Amino acid sequence: MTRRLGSVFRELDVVVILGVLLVVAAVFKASTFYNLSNLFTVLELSAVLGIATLGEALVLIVKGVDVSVGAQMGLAGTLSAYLIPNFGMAPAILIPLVVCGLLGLSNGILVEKGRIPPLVATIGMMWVVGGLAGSISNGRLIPIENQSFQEIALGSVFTAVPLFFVGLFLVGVVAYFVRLNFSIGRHVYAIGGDEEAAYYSAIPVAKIRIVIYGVAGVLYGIAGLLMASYVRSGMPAFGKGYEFKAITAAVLGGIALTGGQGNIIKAIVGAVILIVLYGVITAFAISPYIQGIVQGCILVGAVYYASRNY
Amino acid sequence: MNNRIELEKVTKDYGSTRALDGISITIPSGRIRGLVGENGAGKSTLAKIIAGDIRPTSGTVKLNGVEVPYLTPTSARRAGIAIVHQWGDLVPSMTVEENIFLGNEIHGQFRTLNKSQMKRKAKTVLDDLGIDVDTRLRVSELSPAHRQIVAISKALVRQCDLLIVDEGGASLDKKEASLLHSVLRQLRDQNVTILYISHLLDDVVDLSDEISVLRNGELVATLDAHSTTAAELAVAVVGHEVRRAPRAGDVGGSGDRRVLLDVQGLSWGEDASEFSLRVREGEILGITGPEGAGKSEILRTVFGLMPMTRGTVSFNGELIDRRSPRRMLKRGVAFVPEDRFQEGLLLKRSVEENISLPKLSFQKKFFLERNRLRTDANNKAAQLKTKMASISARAGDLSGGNQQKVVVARWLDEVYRLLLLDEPFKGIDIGAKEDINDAIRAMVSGGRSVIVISTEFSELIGLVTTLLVVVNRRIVKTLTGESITSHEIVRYYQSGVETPGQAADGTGSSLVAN
Amino acid sequence: MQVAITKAREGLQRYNQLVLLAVVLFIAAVISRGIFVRPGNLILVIASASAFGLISFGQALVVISGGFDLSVGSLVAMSISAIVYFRSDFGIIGGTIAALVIAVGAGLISGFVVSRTKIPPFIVTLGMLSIADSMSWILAAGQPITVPEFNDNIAPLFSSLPLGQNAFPIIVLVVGFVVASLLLHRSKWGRYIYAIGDNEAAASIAGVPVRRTKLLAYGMSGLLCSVAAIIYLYQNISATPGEGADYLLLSFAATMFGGVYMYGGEGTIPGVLVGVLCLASVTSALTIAGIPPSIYQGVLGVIVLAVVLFQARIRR
Repeated sequence: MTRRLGSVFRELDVVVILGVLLVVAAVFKASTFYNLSNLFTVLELSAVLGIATLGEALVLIVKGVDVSVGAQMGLAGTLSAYLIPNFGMAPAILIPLVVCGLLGLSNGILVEKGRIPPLVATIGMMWVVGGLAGSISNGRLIPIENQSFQEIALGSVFTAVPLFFVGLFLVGVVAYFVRLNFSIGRHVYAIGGDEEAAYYSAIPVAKIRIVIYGVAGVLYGIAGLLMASYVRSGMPAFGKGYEFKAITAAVLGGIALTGGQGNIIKAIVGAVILIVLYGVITAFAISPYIQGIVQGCILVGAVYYASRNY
Repeated sequence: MNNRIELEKVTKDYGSTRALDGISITIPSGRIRGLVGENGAGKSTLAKIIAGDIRPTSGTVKLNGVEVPYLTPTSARRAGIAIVHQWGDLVPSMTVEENIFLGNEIHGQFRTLNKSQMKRKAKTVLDDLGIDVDTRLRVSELSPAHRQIVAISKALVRQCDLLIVDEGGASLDKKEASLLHSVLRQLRDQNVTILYISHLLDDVVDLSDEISVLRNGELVATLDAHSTTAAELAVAVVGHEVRRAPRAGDVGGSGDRRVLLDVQGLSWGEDASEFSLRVREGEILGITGPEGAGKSEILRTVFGLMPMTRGTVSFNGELIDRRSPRRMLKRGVAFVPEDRFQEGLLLKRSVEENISLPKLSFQKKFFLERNRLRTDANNKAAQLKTKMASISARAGDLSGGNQQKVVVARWLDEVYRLLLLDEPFKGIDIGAKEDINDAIRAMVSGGRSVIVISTEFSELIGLVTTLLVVVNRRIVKTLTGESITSHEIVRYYQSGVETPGQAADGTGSSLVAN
Repeated sequence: MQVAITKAREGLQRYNQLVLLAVVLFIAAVISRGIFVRPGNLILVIASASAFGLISFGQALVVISGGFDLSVGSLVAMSISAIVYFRSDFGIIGGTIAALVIAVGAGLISGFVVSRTKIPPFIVTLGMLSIADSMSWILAAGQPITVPEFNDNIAPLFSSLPLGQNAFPIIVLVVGFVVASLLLHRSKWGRYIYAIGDNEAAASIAGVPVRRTKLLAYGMSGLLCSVAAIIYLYQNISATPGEGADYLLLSFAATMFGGVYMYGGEGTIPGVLVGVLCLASVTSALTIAGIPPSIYQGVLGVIVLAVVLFQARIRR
């Protein structure tokens, strides 16, 4: 009985942490935190980070790591801002996603076929992508005038829930549905859990890994587009630091760095926790510079805690 | 009766090494065929050929009477052949049901997973085998026996009817082993053909219908299991008795030398019994037993690589309460690990750097005395007759035997009084084995002591003064002097032995002589 | 034939750095239409390599020991801010010493956590990156960073020499090179670093003080970062907080050029120096050729990936 309870708690620990944060905010900073505009922002940013985190989580599950998150986000935003004036909405959304998907596949190929450690491969790709984005934008910020594009960020359902968040919800639901109901869901976890066993079970390990990196790339692209819509412009540096946040969120959400374990919905919740945390910190009027220290400690702490258990 | 599989004059060469020599084996369907032989006799090679993992150099394979040009893992699987390894078939973090159908999932509408059917079938397969396991449990939560059975179930749902079980009984206790056996017998009765590979002769005799014995890549006998005893099987496995004259002065008379290492009641976990042993100055203690029996763990715990849950360790009369490699080295105890690639050598560094590594802690100055280190390393390498391009050659470039010599060479200094060697002869040529043997004897004649572990007990006969036989994480027998013979040793290779007169801590009464 | 191929491979491996340098210099000369190879420019290039050269030596020590230091860029930034912060109370000397202490301390903390826990080094230093970055902003306290003291006091000392202002950075680079080389190639700690990077388990069983060695490596990295901060301020006088992120990628690139294998256990300080000079040359040539800085990153990324792929294939 207690074992059941214990495992239930372990499963819901992220929800508990989130709950605690929200309660603290309610008790101490109700008016600052719990107003429509602030909550809207929190949910919007959660969506951006949440989708990026989902991509990172997938990569972590197959025993990889991806630090090109921020760079791909920046590229997506920049590319989109660049394309909108002359090509309209549809290409401005589709092309960046395709490009990011291809970049993701390249990451996968470098890791699988090039036998380069994922950290090094994605660091290299991070710079290449940064350079690409930089050459498109020539170092400047590209403003987005397109009304409909901007509207995505402003749009909402039931007034309080941003479209972004609905998007996050849909992406999460689809991802989780695939995970539970298709072979690929199990194969991905098998690869991370014991690659040899997966190989002997006739699972195409290399192919799946490469595809996962590609899917992650598309997700980063989506996050980047959302961000561009939110800030109404595209600039390579806008994604800066997101790889760090994504990894922290994923680990916080229980994704194991050693691969093969972790619930992707919890990873998304981990992202929400981080955003809410930052919101709470701001609400308490603590210097925003503290964010970095907090983040660093959370990351190391979360990994340490996880390494104790496995 | 149908012959499920026939091998005719199958030979496998690896370069100039002949792993299998003209093996002709016929296994009828619905039988359990035991396969025994020492390490390197060719059991795994044979298994891999049948499973399609490797191709024979020459010879033919017939399945159900039909000659097959060659087998690949895929075609073998399709032909209903599956191999269950000791480890590594299952993903520990996934559930029983997920593992059983891994890569072979049952789909429903739109290629989604038909989980209810998989759950049902998994339960059915396990029930048919007489096992009650919750299919929702993660494999990591199962006992080793149940894990084996789940791996077997995984093969079964792929319609396998020729099952190769590789070292199935190795880490199982008596209860678990009999569970596994009953499952295998049941399969046999359902007309599944089973090839059971194992070191544990008692198990093999108990379970099999016929037993094939391999020695040095040749099939030396096929015996009827029901009219054979483990002892007779042992003779077949080992061949004529290799008896070397006992070393002068090692039988008796060792009682007056000082005890160097005294281990009492040592244990490293719940599934291990308590070990006690004593090593005197100038003594060579051997530890042997089948793979996975827990031999390495004894030394690793003494050396501080694994935590000690119970017991005491004393060296030179002093109780050592906290052990770690550095602490043990300071006291003069050194360890040569089993896997020289994972834990022994610095493959990218030179031979000199490898050998002189421990000496560095004695260097007081900031700058290395490179010439002195070089000369010293050269001397040590020469003592072991190490063959290398030069002392600056990359350690990774040396042959296996010479690599092992490099690792041992580190500890030739007098300051290391006790050397713990874990499988020092594994995978090296005879010449190297001899050289290392000579080095060990030289060390010991100077008053130092050595503990040697080897699964290949023939290597220890004639070298050691006392031999501990360890099976399933307990010492089942201690042999000294003249009684150290292959036949004696192999008699004790059984799973989960509990014989009267054996104390709970695994020491036999014969230790008193020590 | 086999023998010939093996010899060629070995030769390539041994001298690939010099070959690389020669190739790079050639390309740089071409891109810049010869301007690059003017002596005045070459001196500038070496001087510009000073700061990130020091950082690369530190990074090399860490990577050879089997780790990563992702925090190097932020440690430089934090040191810069620390100098400013402590300068107001303790003067420039005090500020500098404080910065050195803090940077070494940060390195030691990273080393401590890496050596005592199972947390992967990239996570530990990623966390330190974030913390140091925050610290650099906090210590800067919103003030503009202007530190003319280094240049004002040190440059005049060398005005008589032909190298002029550039003497100081070049001298410091040389000193750093000598110290790092002696440590890695002539002392027992160097052997320990190689041993741990090659096979940590084997090193531990053979009695290598693994923890202490890792502390040393990460601590040295921190120290070299703070010295690099001094050079940076000497050359640039002013800075923005958090500046220095580029140093991370440059230090990695330089170490990889220098034959430092990502998994540890290989590489030399002279090799890293060659890598540093190569990169400084590429940067200089690109600037001269008028290529915008945003492209540097891209070019560097491609180069780094190419080098790593090449390394991976050689090892087969």
